[in-house]
Amino acid sequence: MEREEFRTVLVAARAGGGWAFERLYRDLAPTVAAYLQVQGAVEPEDLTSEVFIGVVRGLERFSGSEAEFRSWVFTIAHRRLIDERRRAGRRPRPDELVDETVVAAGGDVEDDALVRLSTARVRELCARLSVDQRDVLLLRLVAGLTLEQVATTAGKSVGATKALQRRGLAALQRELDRRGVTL
Amino acid sequence: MSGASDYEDGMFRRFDLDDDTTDAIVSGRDPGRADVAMLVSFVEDARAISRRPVPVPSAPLAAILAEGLSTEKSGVLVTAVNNGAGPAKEAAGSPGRTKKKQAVAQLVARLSVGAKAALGIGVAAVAVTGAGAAGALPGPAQHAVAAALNTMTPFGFPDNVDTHANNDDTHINDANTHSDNVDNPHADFGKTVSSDATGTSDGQPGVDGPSVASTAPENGQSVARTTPARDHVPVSVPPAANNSVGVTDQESTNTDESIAAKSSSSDPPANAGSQSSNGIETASSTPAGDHVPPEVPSPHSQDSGSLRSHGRAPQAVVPPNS
Repeated sequence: MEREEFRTVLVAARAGGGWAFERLYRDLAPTVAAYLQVQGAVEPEDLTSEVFIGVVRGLERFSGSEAEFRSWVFTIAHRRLIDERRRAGRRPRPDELVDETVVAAGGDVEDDALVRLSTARVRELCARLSVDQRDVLLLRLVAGLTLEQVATTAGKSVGATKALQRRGLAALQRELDRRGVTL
Repeated sequence: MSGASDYEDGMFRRFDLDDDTTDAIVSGRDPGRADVAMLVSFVEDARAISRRPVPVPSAPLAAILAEGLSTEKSGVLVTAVNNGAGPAKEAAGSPGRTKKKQAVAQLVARLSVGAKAALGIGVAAVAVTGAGAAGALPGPAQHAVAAALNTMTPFGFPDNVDTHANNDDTHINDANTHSDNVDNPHADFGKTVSSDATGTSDGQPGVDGPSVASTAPENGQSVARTTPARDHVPVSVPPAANNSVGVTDQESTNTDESIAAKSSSSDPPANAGSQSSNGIETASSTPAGDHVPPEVPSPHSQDSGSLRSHGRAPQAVVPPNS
């Protein structure tokens, strides 16, 4: 969205405009659902809805650009994810992150298959990382946040976030080397 | 957090990634190193997984969105759920666009109760329409009511009827996906209009209440059992002799609190068999009255029976700058 367009949509959404909130939902919900799914959320689509209920609730207080809005939405998503982990009373075990991937059919069989395959591979590989490494890498790669935004979302310093990102990638590289297969 | 705790067992081996290489990989640029080709491929996969269909909103979110849109457009659900005095009073007391922020805040504040109530009224509307009115209302009226109900959720998501067929039947979107299903058993609604309804048989438009076909209640129940509200269909329908072919509090055998609370004896569908009502009038008197099409589709029109033809169009609100 262009800057002015986003501003218009945001103002309309704050005023209760259904079309505007739908626009925001359509733009970000797929990515939020993907992030939550690859993080091992039990019901990623339901949790995505919870996230957007939180967005509705907080929209009045938000101000900023589209990039900041994205970061804010993912901060909510990340917190919901942590809440879910806490409710479960434990961290997800790696084997729980590699179950069969479910992605709603979108109409294009080939695209759907690729998304399923990609999701399964990313989940399986990320399951080998520590939780902090996984959080940082997935916020960077799936959510598309900047290093600074990831630091804010994850509640860490930029330096620590950068270190986690580098070590996470290195760990992935080692795992890929060990397997000796290309993705 | 940093240090050895960041590593899982067996993964603490030396592998160097400098900042430039890391930045290039994460940003999708070629890092110029063949030894990280698999890592680059992984990053591409990670970026690709967000290219998926828009997820279907949960029932609470759908209820919020429906309620919000109703506040903005017509007050359908707000009226039905929160205003016992009916649409006129709600319209008169409508906050209007100048108080939208307050309306949204109130809407969210009502989430725990209001969303459920909205869902309840959604189910009640479907149940009453299905159990009481589906067989008793003329085809066009049924068509109009169904079209109106189909506008209550703002999203035109892909038809996930197979995915959600076994889900909770109270899901608002399930109701919509059922309505959108081209194989829907309701697809024939609206294709025929009784001569009694059109007035050609007795010179008076509208179905005569006392002369509702004796098979109507049975038809209504039969159709209702194919709707998402199938679990709430009453086991029996009172005789048409008392002009009450709809479902009332006293008559309903439904034990679902959320539905019973909404199925008051003043619900418009309960008057479906009155002398003065015809399809449009009856549909207009329901909480979804603002969505009733101005004209009854031709009985032989190709798409007059298609719920899809009226289902989504009204909600395609175009943003001003797009």
